[in-house]
Amino acid sequence: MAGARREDDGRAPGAGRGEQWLALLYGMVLRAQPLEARSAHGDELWRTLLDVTRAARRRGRLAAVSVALRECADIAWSGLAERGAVRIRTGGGRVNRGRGGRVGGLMGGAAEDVRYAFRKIGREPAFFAFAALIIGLGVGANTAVFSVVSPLLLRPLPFEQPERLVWVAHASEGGMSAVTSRSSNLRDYRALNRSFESLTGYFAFFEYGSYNLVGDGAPERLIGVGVAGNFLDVLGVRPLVGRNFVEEETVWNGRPAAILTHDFWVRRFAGDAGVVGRFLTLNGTPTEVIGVLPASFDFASTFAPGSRVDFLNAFPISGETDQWGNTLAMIGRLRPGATVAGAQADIDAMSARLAEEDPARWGLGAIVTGLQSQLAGRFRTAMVLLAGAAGVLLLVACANLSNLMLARGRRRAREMAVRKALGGNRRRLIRQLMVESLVLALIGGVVGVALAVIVTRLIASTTAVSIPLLSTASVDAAALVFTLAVTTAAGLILGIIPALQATGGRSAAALNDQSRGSTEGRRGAALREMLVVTEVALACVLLVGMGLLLRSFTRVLDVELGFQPTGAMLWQLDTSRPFDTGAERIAFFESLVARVEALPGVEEAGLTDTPPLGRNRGWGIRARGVVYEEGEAPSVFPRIVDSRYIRAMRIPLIAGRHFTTDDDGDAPPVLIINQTAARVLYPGQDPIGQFAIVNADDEHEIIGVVADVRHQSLEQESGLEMYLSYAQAETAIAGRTLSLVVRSRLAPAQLVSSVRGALREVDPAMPTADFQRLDEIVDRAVSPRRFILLLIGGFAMIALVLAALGIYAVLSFTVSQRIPEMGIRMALGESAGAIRRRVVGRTLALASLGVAIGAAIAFPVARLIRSMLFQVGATDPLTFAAMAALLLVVAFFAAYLPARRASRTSPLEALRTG
Amino acid sequence: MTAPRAWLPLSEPEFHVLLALGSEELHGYGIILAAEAATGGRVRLRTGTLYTVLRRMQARGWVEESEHRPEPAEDDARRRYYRVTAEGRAVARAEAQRLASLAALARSRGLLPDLPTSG
Repeated sequence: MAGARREDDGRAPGAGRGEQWLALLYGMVLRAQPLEARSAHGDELWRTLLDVTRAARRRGRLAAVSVALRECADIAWSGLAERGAVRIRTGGGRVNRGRGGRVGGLMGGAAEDVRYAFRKIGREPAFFAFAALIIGLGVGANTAVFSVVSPLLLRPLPFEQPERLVWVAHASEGGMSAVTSRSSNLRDYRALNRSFESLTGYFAFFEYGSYNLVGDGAPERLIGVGVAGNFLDVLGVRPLVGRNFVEEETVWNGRPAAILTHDFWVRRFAGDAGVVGRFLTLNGTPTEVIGVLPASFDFASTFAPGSRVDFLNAFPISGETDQWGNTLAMIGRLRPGATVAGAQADIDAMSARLAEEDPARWGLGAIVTGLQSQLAGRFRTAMVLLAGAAGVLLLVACANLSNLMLARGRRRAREMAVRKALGGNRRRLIRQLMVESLVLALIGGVVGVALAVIVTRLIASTTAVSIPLLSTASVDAAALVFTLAVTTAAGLILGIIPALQATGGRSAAALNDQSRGSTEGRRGAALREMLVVTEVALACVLLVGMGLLLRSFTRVLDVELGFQPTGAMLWQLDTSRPFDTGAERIAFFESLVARVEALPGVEEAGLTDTPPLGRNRGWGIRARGVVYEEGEAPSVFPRIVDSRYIRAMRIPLIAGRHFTTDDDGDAPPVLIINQTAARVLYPGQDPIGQFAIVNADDEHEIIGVVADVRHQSLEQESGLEMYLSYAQAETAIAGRTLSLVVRSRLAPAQLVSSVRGALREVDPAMPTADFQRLDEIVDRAVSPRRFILLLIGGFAMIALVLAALGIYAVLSFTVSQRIPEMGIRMALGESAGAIRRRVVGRTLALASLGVAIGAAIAFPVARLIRSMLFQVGATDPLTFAAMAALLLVVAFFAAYLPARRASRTSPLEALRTG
Repeated sequence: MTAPRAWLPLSEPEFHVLLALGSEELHGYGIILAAEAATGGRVRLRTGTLYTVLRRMQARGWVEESEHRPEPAEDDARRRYYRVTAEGRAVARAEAQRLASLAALARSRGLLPDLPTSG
């Protein structure tokens, strides 16, 4: 055997785990031994125990275990005997009576520690309240983020076996028409597939139409979503009251039936179950209410966040609906054992086969993805970012508190040193301090949960943010378990450094040692400075994140929309008035708009079928005479408008002319396109006077070119857009909701009442309550971005304040310790200003180090959130510089006050306290 | 110093520890092995009891730590070696005599067979 000392004990292979358990057990029974026994023979006892159990191991594992147990029992027993808790005869009448000690045990010790911790807290309630608040902020932030992220990324969707649900999307670029499929696709995939247990879909363009509810109460405009008959079955949702659709209701021109959503049911019918079986007049048609959805299934929140859905009705899968083109968002339930990849292959095979059978058929093909990742995918990065930021904030809070406790630790060093001199085992002291930290953390955790519940409730109740499933965010059992874990981790993290520091004192001689100049004092100061640097670094990371998101947000708001959102309002118009001819419909709306324009204060008004920043469909367009490759025909976003819409929206006309009332059903079809469309369809030419073919329909003459409008979202560049005159496309708007834009300088309240009055004059049965400001629509489009920014910004600000507090606290302490030294310096002629400079200078040096470290961490992290930035580079120097400057300025002020105090002391005073 | 007789009777562990250390200097495990070997496995000293006993005997001055260290290759800092003192030896002898006289008494009463007289 080589080696001077056999520290490795020459273990038998495989013995490691067993000996670890033995060590654990030994640690526990050792407590039964009296203190002197432990300190005198602790190690030796362990060594001997090892020898004995190893020898036993040669006889087999069972022997080793039984020997180990018997030996440990003996250690405990003889230890108790020595303490005198049990009197046993040891021979010769000399009964060994040890000191009357309590039977220590692991549980007893811990309970004692907890009681001790509470006593300490009671003595300094102010400090602990403050500390609990800081932890509460950190823990609360994490719990709140968990509650928001959980429904999106962690919790399964509120359906039966949601992991088997998939999203089956048509596959190409260009708005919603791109991801929706034809009815015939659903019909045929259902019939031919091998991977799906069932397939269903819903009508994705449900917001284009609405239903006027007339009858008891004021007329109300309702939004209904057409779903395939088996929609609820596929998802595994059972109506709370009533039933699902039956065959007669799901065919073309079938019996009208509706299933109400839970929110609408509560709002309009006060949760009365008797509404099932009643008939509602929707758009003039008596429709039977056959059921009510449960509260757990919020269609809008899940599939169309930011919108409102009042009921579901049946969407027939038939030849008629197939004519409407790509309309369905398809969802499927996989067979047990089928995979997404398998389903994809299946779909591809089916599409190929169907294309072969009918080469003229268009719109085949789809991409299969998991439903949860489809719904949540867009926000994954943002959610992960939020979670990371909350975690960083908690670390800052822990570092801050660690620092504060280190300061207090100096006062306790005396207490600790005395206890150690009396034989206190360092491990036990550390354990006691850790229990103290844990108790503090748990109290802070309770505060945090309370904060999180408030914040989460606020978030869940807002409808202004279009993030899916946000309304189901809540602090549930999972969140509480998470909170407990986070709190425990926080307690351990924040407690370990002060505990080690406080119990690390060398000897009783240290008690008499002054803090100044001692290694203890210096090491303590270095530790605290390191914590401050950590805090600053972490705060810097959060601030940089906030800065980048803030710049992105302002850039988004600065985007050239192409229309003027301020000073305009949008009404959703729906009339259930029947018209005999299309011309009658046009005339009706013309008179309506004329009436509104005539109102005092109204500048312009116009109509469109698709409001901006909403969902849109895509149509095919071709320039006449140009041959396009298969599938290369550009896709365009159409808007069917009256002659005044473009002007009312203040969209600049670049060339040509606007629509006029002459562009009606008898006149040749005309078209206005945007600049991008002009560039793509007629590169290098003047589009005015040219012809375009829309959807394989008639040719339209291009009569005007308007500026690009960001109609999809503010971040996305506009695609190809075109405007059709509604007088020439009135079949497309039959039965559809039209949006009325009213531009006016009047105050909103005034405008609303006069417009509503005018509308009611034209059609008393028309609901007039569905309006919003155009700038609110823009607002809603950026709401997710703003939401994330607010949260991250809040975390960053809290971290900044904590870092400032940390600097202030450390400096106050250091300065008070150094007063004697400063007294000497001042007596030797150093000016007050120089002292201030020195103190502040050192602090700024530390802060700079923190900033440098923070920036270094922020660099790669910023790259990860690149997808959330807009027109701002991930390494944007301006942001980094600004945040660094902000931190240094804050550090300066945090240091200045203690520095000033230091320089104010009189030298005599200072020397005297030394 | 108290007379050895005052400490009698010794407990079994005490006696066997003194006996084991009588012939050589041993560490804790060595003592356990020696006692086991000497009694053919009958006496199994447990570690807890062993060290309680060692502590007690150290306090009484019967046993002391020794500086004996084995080859460096087999050394382990945690093992401490012990040896018996003169007082300890005296106490052990006293106990042995007591036991011997007890055995003689038992023999005279017929509880134990006579000792074989060797030639």
